[in-house]
Amino acid sequence: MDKRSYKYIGRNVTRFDAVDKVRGRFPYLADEPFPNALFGAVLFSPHANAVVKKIDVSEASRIEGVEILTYLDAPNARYNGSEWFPGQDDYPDETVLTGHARHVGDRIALVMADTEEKARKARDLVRVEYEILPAVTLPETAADMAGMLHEDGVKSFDGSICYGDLEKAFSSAAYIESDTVTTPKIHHAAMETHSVLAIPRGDVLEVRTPCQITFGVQYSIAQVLDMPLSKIRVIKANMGGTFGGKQEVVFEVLCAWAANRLKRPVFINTTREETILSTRTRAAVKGKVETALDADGTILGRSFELIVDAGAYLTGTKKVMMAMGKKASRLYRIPALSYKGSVVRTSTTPAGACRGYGSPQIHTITEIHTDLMCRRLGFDPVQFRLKNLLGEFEEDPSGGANIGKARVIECLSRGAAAFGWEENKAPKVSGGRFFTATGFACCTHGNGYYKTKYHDFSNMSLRLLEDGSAILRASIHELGSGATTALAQIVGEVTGIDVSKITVTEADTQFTSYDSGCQASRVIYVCGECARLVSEAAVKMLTQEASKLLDRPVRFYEGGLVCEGKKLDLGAAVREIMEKRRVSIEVNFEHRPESNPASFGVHFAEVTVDKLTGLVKVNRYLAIHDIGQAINESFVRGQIYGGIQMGIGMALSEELPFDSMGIPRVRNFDKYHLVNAPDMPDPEIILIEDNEPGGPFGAKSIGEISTVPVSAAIVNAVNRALGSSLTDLPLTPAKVVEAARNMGE
Amino acid sequence: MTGLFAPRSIEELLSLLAGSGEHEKHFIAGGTDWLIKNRGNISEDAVLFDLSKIPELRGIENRGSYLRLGSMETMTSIHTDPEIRLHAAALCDAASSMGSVQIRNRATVGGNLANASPAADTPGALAALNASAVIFSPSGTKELSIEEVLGTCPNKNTLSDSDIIMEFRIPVRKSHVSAFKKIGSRSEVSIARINLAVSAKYEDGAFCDAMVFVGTLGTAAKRSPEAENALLMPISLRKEGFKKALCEFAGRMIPSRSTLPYKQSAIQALAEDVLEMLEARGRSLEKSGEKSHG
Repeated sequence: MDKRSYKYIGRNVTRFDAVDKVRGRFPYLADEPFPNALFGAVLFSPHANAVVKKIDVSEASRIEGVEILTYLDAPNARYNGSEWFPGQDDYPDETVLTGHARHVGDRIALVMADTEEKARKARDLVRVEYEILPAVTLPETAADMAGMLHEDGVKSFDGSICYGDLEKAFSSAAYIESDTVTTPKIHHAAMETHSVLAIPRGDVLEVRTPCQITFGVQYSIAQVLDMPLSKIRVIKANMGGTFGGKQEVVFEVLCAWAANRLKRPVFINTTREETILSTRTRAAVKGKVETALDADGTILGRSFELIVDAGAYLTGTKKVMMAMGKKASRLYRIPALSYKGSVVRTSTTPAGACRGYGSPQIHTITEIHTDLMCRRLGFDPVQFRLKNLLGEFEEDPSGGANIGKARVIECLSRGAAAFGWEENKAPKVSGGRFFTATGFACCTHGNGYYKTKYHDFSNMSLRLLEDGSAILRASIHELGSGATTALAQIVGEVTGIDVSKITVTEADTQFTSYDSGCQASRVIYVCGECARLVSEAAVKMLTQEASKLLDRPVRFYEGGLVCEGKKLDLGAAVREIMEKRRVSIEVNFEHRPESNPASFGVHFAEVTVDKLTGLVKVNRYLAIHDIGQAINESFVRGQIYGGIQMGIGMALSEELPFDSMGIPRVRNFDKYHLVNAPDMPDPEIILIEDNEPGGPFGAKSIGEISTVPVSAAIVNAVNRALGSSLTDLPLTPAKVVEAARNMGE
Repeated sequence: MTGLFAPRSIEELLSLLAGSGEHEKHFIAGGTDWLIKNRGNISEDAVLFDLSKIPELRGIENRGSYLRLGSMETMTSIHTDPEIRLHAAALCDAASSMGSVQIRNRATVGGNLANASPAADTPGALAALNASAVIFSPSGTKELSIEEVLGTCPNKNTLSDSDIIMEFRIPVRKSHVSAFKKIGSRSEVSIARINLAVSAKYEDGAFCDAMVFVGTLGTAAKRSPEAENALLMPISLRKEGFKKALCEFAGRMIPSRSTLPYKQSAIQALAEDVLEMLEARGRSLEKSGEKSHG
């Protein structure tokens, strides 16, 4: 099909929620108090590693109507909030409440009252005596101190990936180059803080939560409450951003348990500080990478050793660590590889999913290393990469899915030309202290779970209604990216139905069918393809039923029903089929992808470094993405803008540091510095749309990958500007000043 | 129960103050710092006084020898005022670079001084402009320097509970130029890591009568005599001398602070930038002087 003839694909359809959001009318969970709900204020530990010796709730419980549940009341069942399906073997080390606080912000008790004010006041009246234990703050020594933090004494959670003859690669190498890069612990900074509402309804427990995987929430609750999955109804609530921060289960189990126990609705809401200290973060990583090259600069082999900081609980951090390793063989042709990762627990805020699920960390490590290696060996960083990048449909030697219609070489060569790499690659100095240079980085990310250890499929049903409108019943979790509108565009393109007449549901475990969740960059590639296929099936059923009705051949042509050259009204056809044939046009379809290609991106940044202030200004920015096909270009651009904003923060200013006692140095946005609008570049965006097989209309992922190459591009630009080898992120002004001071020494 | 009063005159404020007895008192100017500090923890019997509705605390006017600046004027009203821009450019710089648009619309110059954060922006600018603060109390008014109001303790001013900052008086001085700049973590909506305010008389490219104040080195406005002297140096030596003097000054003020190496570097950038602003303003002052004479 000729792309130009698309009615909706690639068009900038306005998202369903746009008007309400702009007017401030879009209701989030915290905006609509639920009748008779208790507000739950969590009592968080002020200590990093401490055992509760005594908890005295007498004063707090004297306030009328206050309900208090402490760790002494809580079930001992341990769970891992990153698991989203029974049998996933993530080590369970978390409980709903704990008498052993393992980080500042760990959950000791839940204090509930009819108002937030009363609940928080009562919470502050609970007296807790702690025995303070040594904090575990350094990942390097965390394994040796493991027994102090967790009674299980597990030192670390290790994993490895290897293939090829690494020994031979390194022994035959002309060059062996190595760097160590550290990436910071980061707060997701979604506008909406964490909240959840649980409502007991007869034998069913209803939980409303702005989450990414309703079936995962259902499973976590079932583990602790010992209830059948069918009796736990999880409804995806309107969400004000997640970036992975709401992918794992954090307060849902606690809220569900409390509501079930008290037989009253319970609503837990958190402040920014509480969300920063007690939910999830991007895992901090220290990674050593070593590359063996032949004399021409062809990669012979690469080895990794990573320490990944899970924070106080394992959460999904081992998954993240393994995901990092699995990305290592999907960008460059690496004949032999060894990846060793060690996840340790420290007495800091837990890590977990965060946009890119390890991709930003691993590609930041390798792309900074690649630039520094090229500089040391005298290779041009563009030419070096062009020589080693993967071409289309190459296999992943680690056993992952075929990489698909890779266009990363086009991304890099077009980007280098568009950004003027050759003309701008030499750093420039002005005013004695301003150093300007260009940097770039390449990256890859996935499109679902196919050929990983996790199953991937989606089940949807589409009903064409008697007025010619349509409902797609799907377990979508709108994260704010516009996914529901994008799916409506896909349904509209196939059925010819006007997008404004199509409703796409979000997940409700009682009414929508199974889906692996809005994670792993799978929504457009997997759910979008499911939406396309269920739409085709519905059209097929409609034409068959219409043919039977009219006893003449009815075809679907150019977005409408045609019978012997005459156009039929879709709504009228559906009505008549329902009336006369007693058949409704509804189909159910399950899509099981047989591919999981790579998406690719290359970002270029020109920065000016002030060597006296250490401030880095991003002057120009270019993002090029191999996305197969944009379903809605304005959504794609929105994802890229946001991805750049997050990546610059990781490169320059965002971090959650802790002192030696495990006390957070940063608790709020006064000291947590996100890049704001005045400091954002106005990025140029180029999309390479070359139709990825297996995706709807050739589309593949953009949401996560758009933040993956950013930090490395910025750091590489700074290092080129100063001739420095900065590898400890973020490059705060103090670090930049110190590096600049050493220039030329 | 917490009480809130919004008096419409100084007189009304005084009688309310007198009537509030031993209750804990809070004065709210723009509220931008107060809200963050006190949200959720105001004692039940506290009394709040909203000062923003008192007309005597408002107004910006040129009174010949000085500018009168009401303490409840906001950052926005200050940096958009032509008299301030003309005679108190450093204050204009400071007010326009503080916080976000929303904060600037609420935050007041009196509140900024009273809050006495070491990272505050306008106190240094006012001090460099040799401004005084007129303090009203039931026992009478007094005029204090900015440094006297700030004292030596960070986050605590020297005024008593019944003292009200009424207005600032900024001398209108012929041939004087001034400038302010800060460095934060971002170019906007950022708390100063260090800031620098300077005023000086400008004549044929040379400076005299300089006043130099640095913020964040303990309090919001620390005067640096060595930097003032350096500005008097011959033009060829001035820039390096000014940078060196400020660097030494920072070392003297916070000798053992871990942030010293960074602040010493950043203050040199401020020195360069502020000097450039002063020179440019001096040149355009001379130009406009020539024009009006010619």
